[in-house]
Amino acid sequence: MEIREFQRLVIDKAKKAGFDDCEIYYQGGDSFQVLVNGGEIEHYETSSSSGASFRGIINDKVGFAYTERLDENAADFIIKAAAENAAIAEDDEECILFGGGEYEDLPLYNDRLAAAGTEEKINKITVAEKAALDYSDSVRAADRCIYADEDSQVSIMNTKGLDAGFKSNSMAAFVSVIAEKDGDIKTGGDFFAGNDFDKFDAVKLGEDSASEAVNMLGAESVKSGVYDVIIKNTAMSSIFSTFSGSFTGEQAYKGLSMLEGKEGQKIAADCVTIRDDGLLEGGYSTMPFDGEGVPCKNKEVMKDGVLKTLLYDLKYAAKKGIESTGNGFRSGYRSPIACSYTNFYICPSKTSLEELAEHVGCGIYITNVEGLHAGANPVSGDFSLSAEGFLIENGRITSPVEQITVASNFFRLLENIAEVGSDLRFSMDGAGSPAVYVKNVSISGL
Amino acid sequence: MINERTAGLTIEKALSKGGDFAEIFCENTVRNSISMVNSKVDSSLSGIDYGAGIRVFNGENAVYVYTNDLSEKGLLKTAETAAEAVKGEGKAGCRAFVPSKYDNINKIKVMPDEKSRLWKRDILKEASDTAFAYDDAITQTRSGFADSVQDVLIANSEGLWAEDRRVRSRFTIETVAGNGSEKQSGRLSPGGSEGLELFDRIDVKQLAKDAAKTAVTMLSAKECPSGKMTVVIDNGFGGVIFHEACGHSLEATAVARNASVFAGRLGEKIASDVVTAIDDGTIPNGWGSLNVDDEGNPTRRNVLIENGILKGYMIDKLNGRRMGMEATGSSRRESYKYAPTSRMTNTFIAAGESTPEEIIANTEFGLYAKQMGGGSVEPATGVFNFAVLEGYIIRNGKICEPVRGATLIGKGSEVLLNIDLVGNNLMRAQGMCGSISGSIHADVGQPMIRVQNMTVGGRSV
Repeated sequence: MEIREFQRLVIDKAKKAGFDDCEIYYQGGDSFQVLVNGGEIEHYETSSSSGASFRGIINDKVGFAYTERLDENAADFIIKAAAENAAIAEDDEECILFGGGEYEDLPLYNDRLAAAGTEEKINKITVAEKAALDYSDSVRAADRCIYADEDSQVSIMNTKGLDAGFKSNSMAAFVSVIAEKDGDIKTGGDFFAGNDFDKFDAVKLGEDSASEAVNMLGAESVKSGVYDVIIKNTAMSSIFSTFSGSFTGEQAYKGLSMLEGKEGQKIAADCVTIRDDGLLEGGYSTMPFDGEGVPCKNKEVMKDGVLKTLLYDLKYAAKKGIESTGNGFRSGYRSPIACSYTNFYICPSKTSLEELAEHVGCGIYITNVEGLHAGANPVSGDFSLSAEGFLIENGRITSPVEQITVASNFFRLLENIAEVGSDLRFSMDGAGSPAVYVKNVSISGL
Repeated sequence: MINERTAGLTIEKALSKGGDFAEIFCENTVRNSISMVNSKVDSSLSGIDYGAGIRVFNGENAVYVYTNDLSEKGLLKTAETAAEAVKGEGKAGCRAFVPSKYDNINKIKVMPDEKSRLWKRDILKEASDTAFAYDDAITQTRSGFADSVQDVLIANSEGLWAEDRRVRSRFTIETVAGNGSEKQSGRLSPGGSEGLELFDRIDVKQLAKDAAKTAVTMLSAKECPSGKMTVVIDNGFGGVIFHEACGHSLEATAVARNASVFAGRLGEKIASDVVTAIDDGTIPNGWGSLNVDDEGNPTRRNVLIENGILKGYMIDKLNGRRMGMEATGSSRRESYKYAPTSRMTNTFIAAGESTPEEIIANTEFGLYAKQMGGGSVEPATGVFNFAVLEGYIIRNGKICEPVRGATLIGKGSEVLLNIDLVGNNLMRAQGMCGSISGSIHADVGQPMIRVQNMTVGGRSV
């Protein structure tokens, strides 16, 4: 069944079933993925899939259900299940459906990427693999070389008059490398993501991935102690993303955020400014509207260490008596709306990584942290993560370091940032940061 | 979901341009979940997952395609996309299907839809209220219940035709204790391949009290010291150490590509003599138990390590070809959206001789890791990291003050050799395991174990 036909069928049936208002969100698309190994295609995958998510108001309560089967039986199932889910709902706030607004016309669909042929894509990732293998004699294998792209469409229709949609496409390539020297094994990797196929420099990706692994060969641990550190842009983005829930109005309302009630207060060092920009050109999370049809915006979340706003969807904005910031998203059609970020980043300065190292003088450059899903408490901000990186000696980044644990608290870390760097980079989930120089971090090693 | 004719035509179409093996996996899953925050329903969700994945092998290479369109026309179109990615000449066909027969290991007493959402909600409310009543320091609770009924059909060009119904239920209680500036949490989440009879075997109120106790205890705990020390890891979810540090490295996914420290080491001593480890997908009603794996083969009890000697790997069909070894009933996937690969089912260190009391009494100084959090591992090196949710210092053979913020880091291969005591109190606990074929239900488990010379990370130097 075509989606518009399904949307209309569901809305029609929902009204008959007693729903006062309702909304159908649809997400669908085609994807392609290839994994090469030794110049051969090891895994090749294509898909065509879609699903629809229903939310509706019945007896002043909200009910949800989704389906990947778009037929009349499935329409009946989601309406019945949503009504039963609504019956036990206890949220006394009125559910708000958005009636539509003015949307930016964003260049989200790249015709060059859409036109790229399968052979061309496979060739590029093969080139990346070869560049990784040729980088050094120490490279034993480029064990995961993946190219992936997708072409997707989103549409929302509701009984308040909202009827909007957009198409987008994107690609990503990953290379991970195993290096070995004198029995010491190290892994490393890198990625490229975007929707501009011509910007994908396969040779650079292969070489960068290989250098991540090779540079770590011969790493040693350090003595436990308190160090001044620089956290690499990619590692800081991962840490930032892990604790991002604290910046949402939803977690604050639920009492699960240390930032609850801190709007207007100084909670970080002067050099920390944070933006959430859903309209950022070329951003991984750029789109005209959020999962509720509310236009995306560019917002200052923190200015010079002062918290300006949290991120809100319609529901939590209403509880606070303010307007949605355009941060109501589904992590897919299977999930209900939750507050989350778009392109969420710590703003860069003009200080290069080399200059940061000079300012640190003696310390550790942390390039990679592991165990964020386990070794971090997203509520308290506490984290204790295994890490690797390099020594900073006499103002220069020198020999590799491994088997260390970096332990701190995210909110204390924000206070202790001495300087931010210039090398802003985003991870693929939309969180970004430049390298940051943090004083007095507890490191355990030997 | 589809009939034999459609399956046969789809497989033949997938093999029409080359390849030597093709398979179709069809799925219809109905899911329901209720989540409660602070004794109020926060969300109640339902949904249908529905689709099919088609896989074609050409020697050691594979093509995977999937779709939500299970009509004969839709499947043939999808199979054609797969065929076009295979370079060669169509020679292989599809043999006549022979339906697989087995005794159901996951018998269900009460199907999840036999009770109303109101009935489920009341249980969650009782759990939440019990946790709040435990201590004034409890500031938040989350309780939840999720059930799913996954119907699968797997058919392949070798004539395999296997159907399975996987019913799962899981209860969760999470607590947060706060004192103004600090917050700590506790979490317990039992479940199984079972229906609502889950609630006959678990004590929801006791679980709520236990989760609340962890959070409250950790709130007043001081920071864990760091450095190398003896670590006693308790039974149950403590088995995450083996799962992360060793289990993933014994999956053919890592072994076949020579990206595992245990590749090529069958028959060698890789652990201390007291370590025997097993992956068993046949435990009745186990969280990770299946009648047939996601390639349609019966699950098995696979001995991985016996008295310290490496005995076997967990192998799927494709990696089996690459390794020249038989598949072990270990092939799993989150859904039709993932090509299956070798994964764990219910993985545990087998019970040993020591009593838990003996292990503690014989430890002069160390960390007692009572509750473990999750963790991760880099398969190529075996370097792992995981969090201790509830920990205590052991001093002079006695469990002393609680400590928080500890993580255990090290290399799986080294830890296996450093386990010197294994308790007699084997227990399993439920988890979701994420890897390349998605997030799957898996049990971890172990008795209490003691590890010498483990690196403990903490904020107190």
